[in-house]
Amino acid sequence: MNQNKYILFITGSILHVHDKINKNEFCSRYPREPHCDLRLYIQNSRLEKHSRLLNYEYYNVIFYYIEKILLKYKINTTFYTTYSLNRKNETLEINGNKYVIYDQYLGKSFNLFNKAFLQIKDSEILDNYCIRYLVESFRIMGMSIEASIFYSIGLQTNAFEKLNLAYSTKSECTAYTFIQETFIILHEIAHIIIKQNPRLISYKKREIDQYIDKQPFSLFNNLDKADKLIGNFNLDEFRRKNLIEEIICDYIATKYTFELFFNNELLTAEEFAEAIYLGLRTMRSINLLNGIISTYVKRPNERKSHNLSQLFRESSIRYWLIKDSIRSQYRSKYKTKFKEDPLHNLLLKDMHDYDSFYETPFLNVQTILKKLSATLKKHNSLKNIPFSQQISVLNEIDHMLGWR
Amino acid sequence: MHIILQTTKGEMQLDEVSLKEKNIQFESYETSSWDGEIIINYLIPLSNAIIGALTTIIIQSIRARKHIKIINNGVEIHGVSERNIKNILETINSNKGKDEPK
Repeated sequence: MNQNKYILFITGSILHVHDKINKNEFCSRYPREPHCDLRLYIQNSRLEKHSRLLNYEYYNVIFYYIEKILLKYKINTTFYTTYSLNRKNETLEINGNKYVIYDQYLGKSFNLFNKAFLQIKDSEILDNYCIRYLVESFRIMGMSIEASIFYSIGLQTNAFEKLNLAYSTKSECTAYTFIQETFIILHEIAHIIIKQNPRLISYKKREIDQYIDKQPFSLFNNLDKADKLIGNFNLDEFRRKNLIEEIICDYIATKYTFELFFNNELLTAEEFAEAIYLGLRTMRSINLLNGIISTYVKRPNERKSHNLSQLFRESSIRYWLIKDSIRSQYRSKYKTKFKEDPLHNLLLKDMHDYDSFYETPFLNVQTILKKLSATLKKHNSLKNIPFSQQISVLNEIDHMLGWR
Repeated sequence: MHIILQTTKGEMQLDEVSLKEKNIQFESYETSSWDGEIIINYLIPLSNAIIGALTTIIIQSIRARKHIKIINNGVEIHGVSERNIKNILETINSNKGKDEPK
């Protein structure tokens, strides 16, 4: 990857966009402080960190370009960046106005995963990430015992220190992170576009339905360690509808990310595909963790992809369809075909190389939580800790981790 | 001081009618994110006057096995039961101003 050239390209975009934003009415579309109702909602629904950590300039570039796309659909959206333990990108509507809230902590996760895999090449970083993720998840779930246990583990193993070191290592993967964040925001935007243009679903539905039924990629499933866990893949009507909408949002997000930021001189199509693919891998790993934690707190949701085999199969379908989407985008832009399919080869390679990296640390969490659950069951007294005591323990963890 | 009653859109959601019937003021925010689920958040200003009614609604939801989470200052309240919910709401209300987000 020609990282330096791509960074110059991003920097150029930042300067260009900020020149435009400062000169015109776009300023109000990227508020540093959201209006009262939105502020109240964010403050109460998320555990935020200091706003001084927010990199407005960087995200405004992404928002600026996305806004241009939205004009085509006559959709008005206000973008807002936050930094919270929730690591959640969300869309909402208040009094008919649409908002996108992007969580910079999610972007930080993308960058970390990219660095761990492509640059530092050390899967221990993800083990440490999992420990911190567990502390923070149990913290926002108000589960003081679990948060304290994983906080102690983090201290004893130096996980936080090692993780901070990885976070602070200069990234050589900024281009990938930039593409991934754009893709993820566009994916959410795509849901808004689809809501206003439902025919976008019917346009592709038949083709995707056939793909889901035949699963032509299954030939390669034996290469995917994750697929060994797969049992029956039964999609009920709700799940199928949901999966099809997600796939169409992936198509839309890929199309526009490609149009905005793919430049043949800076990135090859394979690198572009790899960036998006790794972004989806990161999201799948985070979803996997959430699913494992939900199961631990006995809130498994059958309708969501918290069922692991379901999650693996659904994401495999999405990966392969994204590959097809990138291939057709590339073909139409450059009027050339790949001699052989390099994206195909990339995905095959990925299945070998990425699984142990992106899945093992997360599946280990499942084992740890199962053991913890069995241990805590034996101690009934732990169930009756008064609310005020729990809050005080959680506040202490916040201070020690530097939140609030 | 506010609390959020969060419910997943679907058959088992907490309906806003229950809040309206008890004259509880709220703002409703429907949000969606990466996992594809639609979440409804009822943002409710907490006061002594509504704790009784709110307790009733939460207890009814627990009994009906509705999917609800109670969130205060961005943190879910864990371990809510019919027995302790009123106390918890009173504790939060009595802490007004202490831990509120700035």
